[in-house]
Amino acid sequence: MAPPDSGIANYDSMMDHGFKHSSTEATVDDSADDYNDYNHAKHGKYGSKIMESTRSLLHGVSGGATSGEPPSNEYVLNVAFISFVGFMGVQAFFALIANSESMLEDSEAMSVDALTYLFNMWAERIKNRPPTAEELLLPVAVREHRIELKRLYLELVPPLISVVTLICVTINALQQAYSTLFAGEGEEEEDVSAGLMLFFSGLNLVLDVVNVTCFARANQAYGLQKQTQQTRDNEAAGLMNASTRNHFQQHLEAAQLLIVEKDEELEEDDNHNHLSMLQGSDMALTDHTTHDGYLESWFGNVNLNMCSAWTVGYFFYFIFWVAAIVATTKECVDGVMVFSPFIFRFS
Amino acid sequence: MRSLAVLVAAAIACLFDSVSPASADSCAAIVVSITILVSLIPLLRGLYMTARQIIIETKNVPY
Repeated sequence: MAPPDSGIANYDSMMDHGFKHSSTEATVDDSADDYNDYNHAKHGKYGSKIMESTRSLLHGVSGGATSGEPPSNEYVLNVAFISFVGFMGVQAFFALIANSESMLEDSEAMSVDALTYLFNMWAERIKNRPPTAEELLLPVAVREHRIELKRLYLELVPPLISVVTLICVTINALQQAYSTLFAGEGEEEEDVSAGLMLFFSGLNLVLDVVNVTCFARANQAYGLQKQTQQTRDNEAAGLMNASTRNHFQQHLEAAQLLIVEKDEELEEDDNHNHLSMLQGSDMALTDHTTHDGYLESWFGNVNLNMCSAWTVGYFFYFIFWVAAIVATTKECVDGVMVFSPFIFRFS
Repeated sequence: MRSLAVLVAAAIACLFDSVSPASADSCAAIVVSITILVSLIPLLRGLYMTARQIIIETKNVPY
């Protein structure tokens, strides 16, 4: 661990080079000066230095924020989950009224979809949760190891559940399709209200388009973060994306809280050690978040939670297109609705 | 690949009158199901690598 003084010098260097805030935030800086003076009085030289560094880091990090910034993964999954649950409830209600088995099956399929979004949203939330005060007191190596292990488990279990469910549903669909084609077991189901089905199909399509657009805006198409020139430039300049910044900010807020709680008990020498500890944890977390897809080494920038959510959405999205195209065209050509329970099982 | 499969299946269903609607649906479902299973391969690979990484991390505990 670096000596405290050199650590402070490194912090100053970071402030001067990598995390210097833009001039557009001068107003924010001015309004924060009083807070800085308060910290100086309360925490002494080094405690104040920590708070100042923290504030500067936050300014520097948020300096990369623009109005066109992509939404966070959690936000995208939240939108997908709420919209799917809402739509599923309405569709199930009308399916019962219309006595449509295929629409009920569609609602069941959407519930699997919604659960996938829910699991992965929960995983993203835990991954972005800041370390607790107790965790911050752990040695950096131990803490980082725990964070990595937690992240790996969160990227394994929820997507695994989704994938297994998806495989089961797909195999079941294949079996039924095979039976229809080759065993002659398929019989067209007479739905009570084909018009209602078409109406909900249209709404479902709109919903899918909205969600796919959200995923694309979050640069998470298929869970792969786009590596545009802009993102590479940002990374080179030390700026972070919204998710990473949020993670980093939460971590620094936790660090601030820890300082406030512990500072009264610490002598100035302890503050030296405390500063070193926080610097170590900041650096470790910066390394961790900068390499937030350390999976890059083998699979590019992949977030498996987003990847599995996207795959499920992708699946329903394109299945739905089959139903919509076939049904619409057939109705135009033959004047007959050809929705089969098979396709609507997935739409 | 998947969108192409979807379009081909839909086109077949629409163009050939000899193909019954149920058969067209089934063909489309088979094509799409296969493409879905193929598209899951990268995700399965990712899960496998994550599981391997967990094993490695579990062995290398920094205590």
